[in-house]
Amino acid sequence: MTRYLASRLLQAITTIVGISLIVFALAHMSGDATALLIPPEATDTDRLALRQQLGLDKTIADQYLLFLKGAFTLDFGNSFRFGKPALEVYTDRFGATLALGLVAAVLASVIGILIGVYGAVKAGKLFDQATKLIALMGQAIPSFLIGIVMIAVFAVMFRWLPTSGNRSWESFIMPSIALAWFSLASLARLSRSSMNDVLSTDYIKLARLKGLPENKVIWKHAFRNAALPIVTMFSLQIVYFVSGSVIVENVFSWPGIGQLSIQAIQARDYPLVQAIVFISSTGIVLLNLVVDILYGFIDPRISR
Amino acid sequence: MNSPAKTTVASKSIGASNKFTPRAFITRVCELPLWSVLVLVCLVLVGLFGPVISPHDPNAIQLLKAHASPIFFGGSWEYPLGTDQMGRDVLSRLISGARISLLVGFAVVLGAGSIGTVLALAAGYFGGAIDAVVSRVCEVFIAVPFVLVAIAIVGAVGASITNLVFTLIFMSWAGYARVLRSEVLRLRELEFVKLAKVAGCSDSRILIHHLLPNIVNPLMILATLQLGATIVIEASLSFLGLGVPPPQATWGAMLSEGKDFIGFHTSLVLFPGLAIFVVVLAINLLGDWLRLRLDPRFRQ
Repeated sequence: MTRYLASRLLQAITTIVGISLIVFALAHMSGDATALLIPPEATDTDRLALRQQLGLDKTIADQYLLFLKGAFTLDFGNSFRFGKPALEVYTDRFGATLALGLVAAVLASVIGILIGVYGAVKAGKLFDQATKLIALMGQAIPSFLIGIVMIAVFAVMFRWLPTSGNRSWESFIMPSIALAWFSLASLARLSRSSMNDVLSTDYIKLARLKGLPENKVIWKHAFRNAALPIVTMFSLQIVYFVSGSVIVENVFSWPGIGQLSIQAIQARDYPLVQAIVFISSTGIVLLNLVVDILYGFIDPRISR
Repeated sequence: MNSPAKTTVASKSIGASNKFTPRAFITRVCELPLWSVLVLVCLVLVGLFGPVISPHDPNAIQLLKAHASPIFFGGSWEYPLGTDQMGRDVLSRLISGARISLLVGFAVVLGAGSIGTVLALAAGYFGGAIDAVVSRVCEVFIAVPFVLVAIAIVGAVGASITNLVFTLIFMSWAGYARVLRSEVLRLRELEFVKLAKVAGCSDSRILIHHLLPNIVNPLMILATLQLGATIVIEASLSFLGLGVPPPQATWGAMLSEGKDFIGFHTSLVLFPGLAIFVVVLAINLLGDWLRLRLDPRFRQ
């Protein structure tokens, strides 16, 4: 167990260092940052002063170490556009993204697993065919497209739901479906195949022969054994929720991190871009680390 | 699942496919997901001959002819699918967009697939330090949110088709490397590789003549599914305004522009939306079919 913990921890640390390298490189790929901050008529001494203030006069290696030090204390400097610490701008918007992400995650897991499990139970029947269709649609319709289709139908044609904002519970419906869409479909697909494997085993046949109620057979005997790959897949899909929120929040003008990231990128607000990419990516790595460690305790086969 | 009737049918069709006779060939062609192949052939033809078959210049602005209706909503044959808010022909823009989707899709799959394959062969076969480095770097790229980092890079280096292709290659090679590496690790332990070594084959000969042909199947499956994913990502990035820069028509950008006219000129989002849906669905169906045919784990 200790060995497993140590290797997972080391893996997470190297991944975070790798992420920091990519994030650090981001600001340097766009050329001279001082050109964005200073009017063209500024004198050379002003430019030099600004370069010194931003630490751009140091060597690349020194600049990286400085960035790394800042990143681990979550200090990314002041946002150019908002004039306050990038971390503060991030945390201001984080609540909206988290709320949408949680609703979408619950939606994707509950509906995706229900559809997949009953698809496997009713293998070959009409419901199963519908399950396969949903899985296919989920992969072929990108989240921004399903978002636009929903806006066209439910907001513009029937005027049932608002097109943007996060003021009421109704405004959660379309964005959370769009964000859950891809994940829901792949969870349905995986639950179906995972349940299929378990349902054909002897102990399920025995449970049925014993005359247990079908619900108990499905959920207590079969699903608990089919759950491991599903949970693994779900923890791996957290990364899609982050990418998806960038797109979905822009379709529905949701005032969260996803919308903020496009604004920051378009304004070349590098402290803010770096904060968003670093915190989001590191958050995913840490979350996956926690899930893996929990597995190690739950299922001793994994940590061996 | 493993009813005896099914097994015999499966073994029959595999046995038949090994011998090359005209009849077996026809059977195999008929088993192809015809609909998928048809869509993809059309897409490739449209992509290749786009400028020839396109009825108008996709970027010609004619404000007086803005928002013409498509032919089946009472429009004219001059603009069969209507015109957009700047009077540009929607059909010509769809054709031009098909070319971009195809170009970006194939370039990225080819680039990322080659890099991923080479690194997977090196890491899986040689092991040791090379394997450690490749695996760690792969983990970084798999852990980061793809779309967020891709738009941040495109935003930093500037939006253009070349930058987009290189960014997407940079971001997606790790997916190939990880899957193919585990395949090489498995193959390396098999008898035929050990025998090749005993027979005195050089490392490069084993890599190119013995290992590479054996990972072509998973590579083909991955590449097909990745082609669909890349087309979706290109459309997503262009939709966000951080993919292929305007005035070049792309399906994603057309959707983004047409979004403001939903309810008045819904056909502006209908056609690019349908194009993405049909093409990606066709590619995914082909990928699933390939996986069932080529992946030995699914053959039983």
